[in-house]
Amino acid sequence: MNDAFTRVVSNADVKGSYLSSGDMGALAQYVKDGNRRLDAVNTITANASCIVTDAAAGIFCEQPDLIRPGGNAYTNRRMAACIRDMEIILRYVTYAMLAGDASVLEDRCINGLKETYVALGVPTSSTARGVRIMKAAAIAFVTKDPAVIQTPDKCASLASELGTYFDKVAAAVS
Amino acid sequence: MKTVITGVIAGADSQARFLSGGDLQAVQGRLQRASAGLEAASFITSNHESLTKEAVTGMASKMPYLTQPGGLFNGATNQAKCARDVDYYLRFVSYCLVCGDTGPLDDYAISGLREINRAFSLPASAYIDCLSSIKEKVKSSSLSPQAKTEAALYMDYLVNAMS
Repeated sequence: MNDAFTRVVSNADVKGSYLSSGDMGALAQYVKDGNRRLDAVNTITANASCIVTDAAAGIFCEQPDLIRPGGNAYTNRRMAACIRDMEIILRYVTYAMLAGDASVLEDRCINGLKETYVALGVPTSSTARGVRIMKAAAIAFVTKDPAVIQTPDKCASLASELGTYFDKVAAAVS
Repeated sequence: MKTVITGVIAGADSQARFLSGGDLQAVQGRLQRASAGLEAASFITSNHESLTKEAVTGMASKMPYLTQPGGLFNGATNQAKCARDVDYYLRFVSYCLVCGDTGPLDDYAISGLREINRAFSLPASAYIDCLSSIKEKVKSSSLSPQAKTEAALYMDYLVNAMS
């Protein structure tokens, strides 16, 4: 598993070189935005169950066949499994957000996810839709945080970084 | 690679839970130290050539038996090899300063270090002397006190692993 710092270090080590000033600058920016990043992780974590259940309700509203008899989320057991999976995906996104690097998300969540879903007959397009709803909700929570609204750029770069982690999951399953 | 950040994530993941307030506080503590680490790493990065050269020259004059005929670092080629190794060690120290943890030294330098030194009969004392003199140079530089402490921390860690 890498974080923003070890990623740069292992890339430099492969070339046997010291860090470039550009790399140093990028890491200094990570450190400078560190508290905002921690706030973002904290906000998503605190609202995780809301983000997950809203996304689940959203998919079932858009695709009611899923929860009718014969649908993949029909019966409480299967709907619960759906919600559990969404929460797991969100949890790995918060890990990636803290690390500032997608490796933990890729290695421990995305790797093999699509194959598992295909084997289990889970409709992956619905999963991808759920992930995109979570993306919108998580970004809204981060950018509407009272502390963030007062900042000039409203944490635009952190919000777009957060979006890329959700996009990775959505792209991997669809 | 093990750092404070990957450590709290691995810990939370092993319990399948979201990051706790304590986890975030640990990371915040790490980020508060990070600027000093980056400062020291920048210093080493921009001065590594002169630091290495002076350290190896100093070591050679202190340990003449190593550079005399029959010594391990006799001749320009062998001294250049010694300088290359010292520069590697210095690079790994700069990586540690960036990561804020001993992960890079553990992974890239220390694991297997004793075996290599024994297999090629490399004198650890020579490398220790080089690192100690670099540490003194860093100590007398214009870096902030915190940056000096951070740099000394990882050099001491490497010296301890060598001796």
